[in-house]
Amino acid sequence: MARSWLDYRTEAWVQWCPGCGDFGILNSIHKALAELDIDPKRLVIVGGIGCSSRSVYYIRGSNVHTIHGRSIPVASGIKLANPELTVIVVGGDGDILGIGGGHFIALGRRNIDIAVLIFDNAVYGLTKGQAGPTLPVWVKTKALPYPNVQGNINPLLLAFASGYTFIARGYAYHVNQLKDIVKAAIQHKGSAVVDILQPCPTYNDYMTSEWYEKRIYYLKDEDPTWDPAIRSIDEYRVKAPRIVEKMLEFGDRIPLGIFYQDLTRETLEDRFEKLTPGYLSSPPAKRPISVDSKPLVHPFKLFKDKVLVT
Amino acid sequence: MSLASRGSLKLSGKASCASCWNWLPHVHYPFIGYCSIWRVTTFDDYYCLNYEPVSVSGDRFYWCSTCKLRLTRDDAIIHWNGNHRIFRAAYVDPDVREELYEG
Amino acid sequence: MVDLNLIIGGPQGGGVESAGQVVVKAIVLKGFNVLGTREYHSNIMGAHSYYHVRFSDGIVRALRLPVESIVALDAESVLTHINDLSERGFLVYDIDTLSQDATRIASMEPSLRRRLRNTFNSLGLNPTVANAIKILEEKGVKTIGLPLKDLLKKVSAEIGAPIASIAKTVNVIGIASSLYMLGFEPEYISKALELQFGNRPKILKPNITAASIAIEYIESNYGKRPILQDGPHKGKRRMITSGNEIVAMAKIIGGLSFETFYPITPASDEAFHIEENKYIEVEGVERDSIDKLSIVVLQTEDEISAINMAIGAALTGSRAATSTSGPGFSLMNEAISMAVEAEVPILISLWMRAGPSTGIATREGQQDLLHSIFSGHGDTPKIVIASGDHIEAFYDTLKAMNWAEEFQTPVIHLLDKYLASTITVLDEPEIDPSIVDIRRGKRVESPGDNYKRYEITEDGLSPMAPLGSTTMIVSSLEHDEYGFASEDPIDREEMMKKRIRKFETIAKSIPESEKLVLHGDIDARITIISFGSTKQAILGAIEELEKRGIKVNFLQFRILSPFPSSSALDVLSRSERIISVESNAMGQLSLLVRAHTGVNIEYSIRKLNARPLYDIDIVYGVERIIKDNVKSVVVSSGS
Repeated sequence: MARSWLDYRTEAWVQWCPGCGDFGILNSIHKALAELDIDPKRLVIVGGIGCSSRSVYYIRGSNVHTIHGRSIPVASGIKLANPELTVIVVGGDGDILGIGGGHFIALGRRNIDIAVLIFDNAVYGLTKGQAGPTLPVWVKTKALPYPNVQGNINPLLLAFASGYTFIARGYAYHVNQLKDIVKAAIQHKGSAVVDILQPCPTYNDYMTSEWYEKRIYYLKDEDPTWDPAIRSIDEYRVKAPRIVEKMLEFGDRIPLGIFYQDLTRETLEDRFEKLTPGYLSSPPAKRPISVDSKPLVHPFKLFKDKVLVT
Repeated sequence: MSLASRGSLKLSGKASCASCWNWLPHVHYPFIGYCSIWRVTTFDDYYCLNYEPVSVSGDRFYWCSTCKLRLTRDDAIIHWNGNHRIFRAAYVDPDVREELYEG
Repeated sequence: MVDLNLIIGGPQGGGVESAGQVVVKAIVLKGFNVLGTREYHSNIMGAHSYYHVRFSDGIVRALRLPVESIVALDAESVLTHINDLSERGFLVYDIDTLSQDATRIASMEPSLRRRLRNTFNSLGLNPTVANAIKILEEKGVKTIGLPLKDLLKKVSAEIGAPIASIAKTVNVIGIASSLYMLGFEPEYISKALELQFGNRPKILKPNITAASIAIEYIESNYGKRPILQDGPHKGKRRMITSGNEIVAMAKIIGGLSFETFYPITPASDEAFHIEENKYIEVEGVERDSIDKLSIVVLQTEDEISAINMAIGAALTGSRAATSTSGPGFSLMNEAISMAVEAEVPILISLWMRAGPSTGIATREGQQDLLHSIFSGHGDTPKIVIASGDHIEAFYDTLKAMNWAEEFQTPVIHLLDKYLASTITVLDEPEIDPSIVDIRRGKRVESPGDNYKRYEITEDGLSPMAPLGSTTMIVSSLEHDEYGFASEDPIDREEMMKKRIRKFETIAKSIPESEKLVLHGDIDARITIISFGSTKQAILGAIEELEKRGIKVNFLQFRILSPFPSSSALDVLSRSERIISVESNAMGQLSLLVRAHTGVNIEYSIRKLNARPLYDIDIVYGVERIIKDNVKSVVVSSGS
């Protein structure tokens, strides 16, 4: 029997503020997992620190709650050691793009098969609303004593420049559309990122649901022929300029949907398999390390080049 | 200022590899070098008809074997006038990696 | 009794490394024990570096100065090591460097240049190689000026065809001269060259020729040399290995399947050796018709990522490790704290080097003892083990991987630059991997539903299931038994107690004999305390002091956390004079011993110049303490 979205809920009380966009995102994830019928035992949700990272307690899985900004390296270690697991990173813009920015870039370079879901509210909620890395310059939220003097980064362009092979943007309150995007991100073979616009009613009184809803639209609605898939280098050359143009659009109009999906690039796991055949069938988590508690190899046999006869 | 203010070649008074434009002294043992014409390793007192005296003129990099430094043209003029041994470049062994440490 | 030391000095990249390796091989082939280390600048090429080798028919515990032979491949080497040569020794140098003056050697450290100028000037001399030779000869040293260029021309002529690798024989001319002077038969030199370059005939041939031309020259100018009798270790299979290599080997043998690193000296060579051997043939294990197993070795974007990635891998049930040095370890601190809270088995090989800050990246220091023990915020007990030599480093690596998994904890393995780059020779029984069984603790593969990752138990150890085996939560927040975040005061207290009980279990499970070792006579009234790579130098010093009528024993701290307080106190309370030997300024071990035992360590011998500790340093220090009754001696040998 296929699983229902209810099978992915946990008993933990969801500790978010009333009106928080994260509730919508959580529901989309539950539904995406149910539609993909992923075994919770084989599912690993990895979170950093922040409101959204707490999702590790709210989704049934074999989950890990890490420290601030480090969910991506922990998730990478999990996936590379056991490529059979479905690994999803959850966290805020501060966690993933601020303190964890270096790891975010590195994941793109590696193209490990991990989906990164950024709950992007442009503020640090748990610490009372400081400016996040996606808050535009000169914006003064109620929580800030002065306007934000640091500029915002563009998560999609950063992902594109870093080498992510699946890049999308969703909106927290559009649960069904977001569910489809999250599903596609999980299904994608390679590093996927979904930047999920999420109003923080408590601290971000600038980027509110009204603010977003005046601006957002779906790429497919604007252009029914929109196809983010890249199947060849020629297709890349043709489509890339338009994709980048759409990624740059963030102001009066904010596009949503899947911007880019590169189907041509191999994952790091595939590269390991190429270099060391057998990696995928006997990955670190599953390979034997001993026989009857004794090592499989002996130094004088294995490292013959260091041995000489006097 | 003239680039050739040092005048004609003085090195052992002889047209040898040691002052030849085509010769790249070994980075560590500069009495050995690599001849880019013959494509062989020679000693600094060898010579041949392809001899061409070193001069600092073109806008390029030079090698000062006295200071073990790579120099731009402007810097090379100063070293040349200080009677340093100037060359087109240094020769580095292609397998030098084996002799190097992590540092 | 053969006990000889030599130095080969030259510009970094100028052949010092392969010369050192060839010398070590020749010595081993001739049947001796050997220790060799490289001392070098944090520079790619051009700065001065040297290889320091000691060999003997007995155990070689430490390097020693002064040496019996110096091969100076350039002028800087003659001048840098002018004080390192014994009066009975000889110097091999290039006569074309005679006119060179320290004040005009671009690559020389300005302070050394100044010191040389002052010393030479006080004798009314300029700091030239010629004057250095004069000074050495007046001391009684034999100097052997090689007409290097002429000898190389001979090599060139003998080989005939134009050769590209003539410069690669400069070092061999030097070492062949030195080894021949020391009494090595030419066959040993060529055999060592064959082992070094055997698979590259284009390099081997000129080097063999160069060696024989050098020997011919020495023979005709200095006469036939008496043959040195072969050492006692002939007809054996022996392994030549550095500290970096032996740790890499132990990790592979112990079943490591995941190693991360960010490039840093002196740690990265370890990861490099694992990567070289990351695809290993294994007998008796065949899966999907593949009889080779792979190890994931990954260079990460920083050390923060390195340790977090290894933590992720460890949670899946893989044996995971990372290796680093002080600066990288600083970056790992927060993740170590997570590994304690979340109870993750992880090995961190910490190759100490000279700090603080980037300090001297390529030189020796033992300054991270307290840093490792107290790494991580919050109460973060963990295992810290320090290896005294190559053999200990081998077994410690195997044990550390076991302990990490058995006790679900970070284990920090303290090593250092000296061990990293020191080469030694070992016999097969000395590194027998079957001595340490591979143990994985309370591991459960199929835990079923309702699994509690942090189940409260008497010994503080919960059954550990890998991610992917059931639903669970691994949490870096304070948690309940299931791993759910919890701020409940009872949950909190129970988890704090659980982690402390676990640490007590660790302390009880590891035998005292593995935590500290008393070397020498328990009734000696002078006790040296130390940790890490100073071990063999101290043992050598004790032997030497005994000859001089001074009886000293040595309490070697192997496990620094959990600290063996009562066993330490037993020994220390018998001693009248306790001397700590450490290569750090704060006396970190002394502080730790005092904190745990209440014993005040009154005397200290410290080395602060970022050079290896020699046995003679300790002999000197102990004698100063006893005879001059000084409390603290800073020893300053080394170039």
